[in-house]
Amino acid sequence: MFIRLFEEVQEFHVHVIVDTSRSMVDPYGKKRIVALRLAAALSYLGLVNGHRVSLLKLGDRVEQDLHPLKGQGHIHNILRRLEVLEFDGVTQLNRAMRGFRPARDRKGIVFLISDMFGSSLEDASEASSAMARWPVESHVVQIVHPREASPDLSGELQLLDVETGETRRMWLTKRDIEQYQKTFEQFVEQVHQACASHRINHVQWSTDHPFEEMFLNLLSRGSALAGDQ
Amino acid sequence: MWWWGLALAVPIVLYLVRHKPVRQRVTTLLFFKSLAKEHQEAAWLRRLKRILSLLLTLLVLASVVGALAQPIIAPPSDGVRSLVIVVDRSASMAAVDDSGVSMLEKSIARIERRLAAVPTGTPVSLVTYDTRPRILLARSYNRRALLRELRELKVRPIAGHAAPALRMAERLALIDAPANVWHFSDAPPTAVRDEDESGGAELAEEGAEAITEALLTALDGDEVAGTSDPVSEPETKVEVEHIYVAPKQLKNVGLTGFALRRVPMQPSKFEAFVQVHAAGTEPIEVELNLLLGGELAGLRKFELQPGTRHRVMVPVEASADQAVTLQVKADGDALALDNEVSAWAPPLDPLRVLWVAPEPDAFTELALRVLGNETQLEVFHTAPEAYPPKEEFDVVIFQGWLPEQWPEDVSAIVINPPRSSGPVRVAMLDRGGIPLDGVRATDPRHPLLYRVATPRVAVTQTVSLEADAASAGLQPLWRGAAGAVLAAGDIRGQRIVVMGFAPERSETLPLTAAYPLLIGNAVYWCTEAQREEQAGNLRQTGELIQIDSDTLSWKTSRDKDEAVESIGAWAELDRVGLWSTASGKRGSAALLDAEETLLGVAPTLSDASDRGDEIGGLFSGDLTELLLMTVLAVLLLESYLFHRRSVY
Repeated sequence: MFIRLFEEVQEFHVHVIVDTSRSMVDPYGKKRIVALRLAAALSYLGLVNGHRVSLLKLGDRVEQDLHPLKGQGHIHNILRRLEVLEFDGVTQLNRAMRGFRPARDRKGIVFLISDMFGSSLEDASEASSAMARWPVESHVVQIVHPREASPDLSGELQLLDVETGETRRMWLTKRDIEQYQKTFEQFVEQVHQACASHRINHVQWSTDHPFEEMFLNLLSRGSALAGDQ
Repeated sequence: MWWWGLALAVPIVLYLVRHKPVRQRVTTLLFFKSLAKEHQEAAWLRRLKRILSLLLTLLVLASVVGALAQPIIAPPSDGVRSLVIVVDRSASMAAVDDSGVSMLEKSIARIERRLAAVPTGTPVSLVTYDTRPRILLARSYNRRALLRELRELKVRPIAGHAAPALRMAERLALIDAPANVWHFSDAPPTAVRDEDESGGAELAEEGAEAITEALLTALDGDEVAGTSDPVSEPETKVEVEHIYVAPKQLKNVGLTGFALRRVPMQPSKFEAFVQVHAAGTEPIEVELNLLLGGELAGLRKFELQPGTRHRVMVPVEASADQAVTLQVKADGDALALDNEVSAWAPPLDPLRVLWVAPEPDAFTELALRVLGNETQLEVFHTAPEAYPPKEEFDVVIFQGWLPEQWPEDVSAIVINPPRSSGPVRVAMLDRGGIPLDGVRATDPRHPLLYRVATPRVAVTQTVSLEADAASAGLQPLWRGAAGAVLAAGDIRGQRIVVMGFAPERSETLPLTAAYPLLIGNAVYWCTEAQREEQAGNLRQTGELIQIDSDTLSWKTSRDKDEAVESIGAWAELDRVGLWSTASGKRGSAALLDAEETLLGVAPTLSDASDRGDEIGGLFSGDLTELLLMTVLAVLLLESYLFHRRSVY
């Protein structure tokens, strides 16, 4: 009696969603670079492992930017596409997540690369609820610049929101900055808790950390893409 | 008001140079907005702040509207129906205290404080005076016009007479009695009352009466009719309050007497008689400067005790028609208007003297000859038969003879009159006269007796000068056993000197220099008016002079030269300095008033009376400044409360 052992090679559909709002490039351009490098790395990993890879961009809604590609050779198409990706407009996180449905052709993996700044502080948490409805493995990579977490501001300022163009005139004191930092930490923690409650992996990616270290950290958290099935 | 403009300019300047906020781009405003919420605290507090801000804004608007309306709030009337304010603007009101504030400015400030307590429905009149009173505002309800008139008041370098002004004020007050009269002056109230009782400044008083009468007629006829006899009960209806304004400490020196003339026996030289008074509490070092044509030509220093006077003769080496000025200076001098006097040096125009005597007296002839040689005197002798002369003379000397018809158009010196004639009333003495070993001078300072050694005079009195109505204008200068021996006076503009003795029969008089001096003094005194007309013509400020041109050109040391247009043929001398007209007439004016120089000192009660002026309170009187202050304060408060660390 012969027993033949087969190894099933499963093909996934990897969705890489890149936040292309203005806040990803202005005033901290390094967020864009990190986001593009991460998208390229994830796409390459998917193509190398024989998965189907889709590149999507996130603004007021999620749009397909590149048709699903398969095969290692398509990495160049992805890189060229990422190179010309325009970062502009506003982010409507909750609305965009609700309006998006990952393809059901294969088991899906979604990587959302964004700073998670929506129209309100609750927008990110509500977006995670929408993501929970997807029949996919979801990962949220929150790109954060250190100055966003702890701004180096004081005195009388006229603040300009780069996405909406809205301005606010404020007088910031040291106490105000401390309060700001506290609020920001609460926001990140709130997003993390919301993602965790919906079994969504959430990673806060600070732009001043080494890319490789952060990428390995992302994969080590467990993903089908890394062969953890 | 300029400081209010400055205060309002402060916020405007702050706005223009305000700090421009730094523009900062951020990825999101979400966290900053939450920060703003932290600042907003509770809703009830936000609402409270909003209401408070609204109230403050309304207060600012109301204050601005109120300030534009310039409201004046006054307390209710206390039974007084009108008010008359009398302000002294005579020279002494220019005296300044230690802080540099003049007495007039002090008076105006006190009036403004007192006015705050006067109801707006009370008519107020404003009367000011120097030599003459003047009504600046009659029964006005317009406080703003009143304040404007008050603030435009200026001191005039003229002596003050309060009594006519007070009479005018009382009559004005009686139009709407019961009334109050406030009299602000640096003259003590006792001095004002004394002047009132003595009837001083009668001329000015007559003018005041006339003006008041005219005013009463011009004003509301019904009210005038209601007070048909306004002076019948003035004490019951009008309350006069004398508010004494004077510096607490003062020091002042001033010129109070001046005369410039040629030295009788040395006509080429001049001499100036100067009298200086001092007021103060301690001895004052005085510097007396003589200026010729504006250049310093002499200087004297002396010390004066307070309240005393100093008389000095100053030789003046001036040429005819040159401006002669005398100035006094002292450290800490409070009043500048009495420090200077100027005059033109008189020209050498000869005086023409007609000597009418039946038998020429050798001593008189000698005296006249000496005068003719030494001075500019042209003496013509004539017999009584040739009188009256065909030519004109400046003075006539009648000796031992008098005309039947007394000449009224020329000054006269009468020596040993044989009978009475015109205003010269004499009683002949028996036995050809009475020898007198000595005579008594009743007024040694009279110009007629200048340098005459009266104690050494022995004369034979031939007539006694009667003191009847016709000769009432003649003042006895020498008295002997049988009455007046020498008399002089000004009767209806004619100067007359009567010598009731016979020189040729007198013992010592003709043989001494006293007789030529007496004759010379008499000639000069009699022709003083003509000589003043020709030259110096020094008068006191405030006098009216008749001029023959439209303008009076002034040359003063305090102000720049100025030409003043006159109204009609009369002009008031309202400056200290030299004046001239286009026709060549000229003269000078100076204060020369001891009462103005001898400034009073404020009594210790002055402080209390100052405080008594503060009867209006903060919310009375003109509220414009208060409202503007409120606007500024509220703007600053709102800025502090809502914009100091504002987060939008």
